[in-house]
Amino acid sequence: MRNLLLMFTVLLLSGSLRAEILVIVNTTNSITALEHKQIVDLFMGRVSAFPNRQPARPLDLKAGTPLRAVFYKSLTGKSEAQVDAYWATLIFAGRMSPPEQFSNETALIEKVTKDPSAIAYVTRQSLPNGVKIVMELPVRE
Amino acid sequence: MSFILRRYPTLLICILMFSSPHVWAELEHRFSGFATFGLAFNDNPLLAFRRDVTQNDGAYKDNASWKNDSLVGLQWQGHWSPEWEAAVQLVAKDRFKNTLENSIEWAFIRYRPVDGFDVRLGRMGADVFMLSEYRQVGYAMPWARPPHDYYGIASLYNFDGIDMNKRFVLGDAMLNVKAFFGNSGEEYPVGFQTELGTKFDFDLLGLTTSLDWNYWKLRYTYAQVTVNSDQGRELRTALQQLTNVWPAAVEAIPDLQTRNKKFDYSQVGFNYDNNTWWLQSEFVRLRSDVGLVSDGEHFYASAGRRVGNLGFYVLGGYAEPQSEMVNLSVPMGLPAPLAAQLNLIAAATERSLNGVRIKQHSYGVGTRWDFASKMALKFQLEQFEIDKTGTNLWLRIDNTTEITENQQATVVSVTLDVLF
Repeated sequence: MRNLLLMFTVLLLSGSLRAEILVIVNTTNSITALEHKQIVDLFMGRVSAFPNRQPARPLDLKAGTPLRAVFYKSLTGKSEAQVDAYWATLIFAGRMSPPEQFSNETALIEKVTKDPSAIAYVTRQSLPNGVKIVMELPVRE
Repeated sequence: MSFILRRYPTLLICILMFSSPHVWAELEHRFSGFATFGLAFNDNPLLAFRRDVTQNDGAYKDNASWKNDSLVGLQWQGHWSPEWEAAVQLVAKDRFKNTLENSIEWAFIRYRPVDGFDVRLGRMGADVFMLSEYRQVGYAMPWARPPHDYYGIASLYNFDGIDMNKRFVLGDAMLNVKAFFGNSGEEYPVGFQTELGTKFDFDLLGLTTSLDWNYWKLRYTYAQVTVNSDQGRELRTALQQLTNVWPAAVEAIPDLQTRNKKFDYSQVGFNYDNNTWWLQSEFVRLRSDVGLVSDGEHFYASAGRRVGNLGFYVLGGYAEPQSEMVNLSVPMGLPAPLAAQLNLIAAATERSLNGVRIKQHSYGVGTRWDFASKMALKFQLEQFEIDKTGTNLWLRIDNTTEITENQQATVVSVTLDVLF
């Protein structure tokens, strides 16, 4: 019984550890890795360039897509409504344009393969040529 | 100078859009918008509630108003390259003077030679207060509207000119320094549901610094306004003509001058938000050489907590004049017809100078429900205590009757905020 419990615990833990979101960029981007804060700055519209000063274009999923809520919660601790309210302050102040939004991850990945300045988030999966991972973000419920 | 500044934004946008078809072809467009449908209820029978001093209508006893808070905003942003962007924002709402020119909230071109440095040219938000640049976007704020004791005076929505923003990274913190300069104007209604207004044209110059660090945000702004319009001329002429019989009248004349006179704002703001609890407060000291713009200080503080898709908050604030009431005493022993005339002019002068005073405080509670994606419903209940000597954030329903007693008003607001 105790062994079974242990097995379940291990399974649960490994499951939660595997639940990660991948932050991806185009393979031609010279950036090899980004820190958590740098990703926050990019997706919260605080900066508009990568640390190597190359222009950055964060791509987003459409509001209401489940991964979108999980990504922002894990990255910033904010709910989707908080993120939308925050972005509204930037967009309607005219400080930043809203990130381009896509209806699914396939479309996001395809865009990243074509755009050297793109940065996007997807669930862990095998990725095509043309994109590379710059951060693995643990999921926070 | 003012003439040029007020007219070039639309011109500039037009030139850019139409003169160069290849630029147009490379352009990426973004359309977005916001809307609020709001209803305000007020139980005071003498004073109508208004969101700010630019409105000439609002809620009073047995007359709820949708005009205080309802609006629709549409925005276009065009992106040529990482360096060049343009934006136009139109807002439709119940305005005192509803023209297309007044409905253009923003129309500017932004140049960003390097990340962290922006220059904007055109019509843009006057970044004087914490909510200045998004004060019409209900969804972006926790309350039904920007706090009344503070934002009720804030009539500066936009200006035509230039601003420059530079970002500095200080370890984990980010400091933004912005300088702005331009021209603006507003026509203020002189009473309830009237078409009559007082037109002000002014130049604006300011500096804003804001510091973001983890959950904290601090900001300081200094802005100086120089009035270009000449208001109060009739009263000044009348007083001037009476100095033989009423030597003291001359003392009131400088207060009634506006042209080339200045007023300034010194503002501090503070925000803390750890995603569960939040706290926000602002204080502004308005110093004025213009008698028709009241010297005063304004403050609000608000705290809230988020529970799932619900938010609960409390808020409170005050507005306090920092100058004495103007009292003109007419000399005794004058012939009756002259004395009557003098009394009329004295009363008109006092009304002009004391009528702009704002003295009130308020406290309230509210809730926000994010019931669907990009939609929020809010309910807010506030109690206002308005001093009889400072009712200018409100409109007297009967313009012929003075307010002789301190007033109370319970204001209930229900708003639906949407982003699209």
